[in-house]
Amino acid sequence: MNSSQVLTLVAVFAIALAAFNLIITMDKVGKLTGYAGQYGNATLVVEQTINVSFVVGNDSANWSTGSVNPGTYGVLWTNGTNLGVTGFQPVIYPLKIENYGNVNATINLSSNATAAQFIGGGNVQLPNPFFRWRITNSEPSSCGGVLGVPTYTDVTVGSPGIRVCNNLSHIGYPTRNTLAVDLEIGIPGNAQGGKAVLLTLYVASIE
Amino acid sequence: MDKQKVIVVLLLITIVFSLISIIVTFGVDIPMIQQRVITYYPAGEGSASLVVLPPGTGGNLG
Repeated sequence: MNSSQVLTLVAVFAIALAAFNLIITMDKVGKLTGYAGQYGNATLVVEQTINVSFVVGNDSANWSTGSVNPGTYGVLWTNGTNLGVTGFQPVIYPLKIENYGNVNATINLSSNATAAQFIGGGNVQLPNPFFRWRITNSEPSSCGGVLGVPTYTDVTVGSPGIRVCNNLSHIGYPTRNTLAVDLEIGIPGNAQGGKAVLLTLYVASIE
Repeated sequence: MDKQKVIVVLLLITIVFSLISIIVTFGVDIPMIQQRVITYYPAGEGSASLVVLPPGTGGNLG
């Protein structure tokens, strides 16, 4: 191969590489959102931070100690209502989930126990226990997307749980970035002992 | 150095610059790709608890 052929080969390779580079660059430029007209544009990127958690002080519901009226069935809610029971402390506030970040987020919720595992009891004479939740806007328009569990529904067990809001707003802090998690617990008269359950919050960026 | 060698050197420099440009362009794109991946992560726990006494035994309010 003489020097002229080497030169040609290198030149062809350089042109091919430059063309490939040009295609990639043009592809990226096409995705830019800035538009330069007669005005100058300045662009900056603010780091996105997802920061969602249960609100301290509204992260647990504890009905304390009580009993179910003999041969009956009791129901506890997080709106202060206790039915068919004696002695339980009313829980007057739902659990709350707040978006403290600077980006909207997708919210999932899961329980570590089913109603049977959490409450137990029940038989032919007494209905089986139930453990349900309902997720609504604690502050109006907090969920800018779809509320996944707007009415009382049996809890979902296991990771990553059930999607309860696909677009929890961070905007308007602190006025519209909070969800309410209401609980409804059905206790058969033959369910006794200490009962505890954990609800795990899962978050992700919006789709 | 003859004329052809000068041209070869210049072409090689062009190739190196193109390679650097491609690497930088792809490098910028990597975080954008990662951002589109939906990954859930645990962000905290809430709880519910109560103690159920035998029927008819009442219970305390504390």
